[in-house]
Amino acid sequence: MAKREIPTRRAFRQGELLFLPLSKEDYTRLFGDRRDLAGQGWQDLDTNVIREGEATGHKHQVLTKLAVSAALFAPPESWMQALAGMDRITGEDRLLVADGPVEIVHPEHKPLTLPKGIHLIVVQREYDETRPYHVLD
Amino acid sequence: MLVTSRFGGCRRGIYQTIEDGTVTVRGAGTCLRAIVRQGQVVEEVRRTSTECTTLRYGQGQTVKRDGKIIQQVFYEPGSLHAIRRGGLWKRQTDLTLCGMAGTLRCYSTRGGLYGRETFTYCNGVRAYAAERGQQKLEVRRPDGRLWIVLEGRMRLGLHSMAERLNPRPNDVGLWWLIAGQDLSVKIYGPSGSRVVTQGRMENHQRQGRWLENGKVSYYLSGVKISRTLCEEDPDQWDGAEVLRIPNAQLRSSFLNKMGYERLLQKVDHEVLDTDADGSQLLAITVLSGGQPALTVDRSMRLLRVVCPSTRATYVLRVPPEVQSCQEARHWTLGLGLRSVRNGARFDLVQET
Repeated sequence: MAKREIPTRRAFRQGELLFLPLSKEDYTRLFGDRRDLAGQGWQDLDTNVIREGEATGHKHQVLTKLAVSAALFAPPESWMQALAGMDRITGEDRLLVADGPVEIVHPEHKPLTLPKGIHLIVVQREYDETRPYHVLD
Repeated sequence: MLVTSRFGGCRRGIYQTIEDGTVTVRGAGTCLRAIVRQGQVVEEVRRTSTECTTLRYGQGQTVKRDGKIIQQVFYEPGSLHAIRRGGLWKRQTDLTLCGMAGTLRCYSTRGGLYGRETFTYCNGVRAYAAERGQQKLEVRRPDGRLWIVLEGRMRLGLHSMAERLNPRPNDVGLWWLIAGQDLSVKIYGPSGSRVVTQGRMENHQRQGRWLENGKVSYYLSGVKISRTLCEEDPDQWDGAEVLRIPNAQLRSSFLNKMGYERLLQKVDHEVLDTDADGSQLLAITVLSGGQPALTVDRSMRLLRVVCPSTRATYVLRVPPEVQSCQEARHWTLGLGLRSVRNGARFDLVQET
C-alpha cells in the first residue's frame, strides 16, 4: 500500500521547546471555526513564562515590544486533538497567540524571534515505559 | 497601520487599516495612543495612572513617573529603535541597588554595541563601572565597601547590570548576570571583608563547591548534589544506576560527568545509528538483579543529542522501536513514529 504523503512542517526550536506556527488548516483541525480558546477550555495563563526548569529555575519567557501583545494558553486536561502526523497535545504543551513578532528568551539559549501568529509550543518528550503512548503496529 | 481584534466575539471584531491619524486604545487604567503617518506608526504613548511612556521611532523613548523623567533612551537617527551610536544611549534614575537609589548611564561604542555602563548611588558613591569584555567587575555598596566580585568575561546588554542585580535579592540575579560561559562569583557581607557566597558558574550553571550565605553546597550542572557525589570519582559509579536517575537534567549531568566513553565501558551497549549533527542512537540492555526487569524495557534506546546553543550533550530515552537518529529526534519533538516513517519532518527555521 502506498504511504500517505505528510508535508514537512515549519518549526522553530529553543532548547526543549518546539514552536510550530499553525496554519489555517491546523487551527481548524484543532478548534474548528471557533475563535474563543477560553470557550473550549483553554486557560489563559496571564504570564509570559512558558516553562521553568525543574532543577535550575531557568525560564523560557516571551518578550514583546510596545503595541505587541501575546498570550499563552494551556490545554484542558481532556484535550484529545492533535495536529496531522503528531501525537496528541499534552498538558505541558502551550499555545502562543501573538499579534506581532515576539522574542523567546532563556538564560542558556540565544533569543528566538517568532513571527506573529498562533504557535503551538511542544515540549520535547522522553520515553517513559510507565506511561502509555502510541505504539507502532 | 492595521488595527485588528482577537476573540472579540461574533460581529464584534475590528479590522481597520489606518493611513494617517491617531489610534487610542483605552483599557482598565491604561491608555495607548499611536500616531500614524503614511501607514506607519511614528509615535506611541502609553499611559497608566502613574507612568507615561513616549516612544518616538528614530528618536528615543522617555518614561515619566508622576511628571518626572525617570528614563531616557536615545535612538540612532534613521533607525526604528537601534541604540544611538558612540555616546550616551540610556539614562535611568528609578533604579535602586543595594537598597539605595542611583543613576544608571549606558554608553555605546561607535559601532552601536553596548560599550560601557556606570551606576552611581544618589550619595555620589559609584557602585560599578562595567566595560565590554572586562575580565573583573567589582560592585560596591552605598558606603563604598566591596559587595560583589565577578571574574570572567563581562558581556553588557540591553538590560543593565543594575537591573539584573535587582530582581532577586537572594541570589543577586546571578542567572541574569552571567552571559559568559565561565564566571566566578564572590559576595561579601555588609562588613566588606567576610565572604558569604562564593562559587563558580560553568555554562550558566552552578558547578562544584558553593558557599551560599555561609552554608556549603555542591552542584553538578546547576543541580544540588551531595558532597560524596561531587567529589567521588565517576569511575566508581554504576552506569546502570545512573541511567535510572529520574531527573533528566541530573541524569544528563551525571552522564556528562561520567563521560560516554566510561558509561559505554560500564554497560553493554550498541551504537545503532549516527547522525551528521553528532547525535547517536544507542541501545543498552537493562538488567535488574541479573534478570530483565518486568517493568523496564529489555532494550533501552537512548538518543544522545548536542544542544546547538550550549553545546552540552543530553541523553533522552526514546521508544524501543526507534531505529534511527532521525526517527528518535522527531519522535522526541512530538511526531508520531508512524508519521516519521511515512516521511513527516520538521523544517527547523531557527534553532537556538
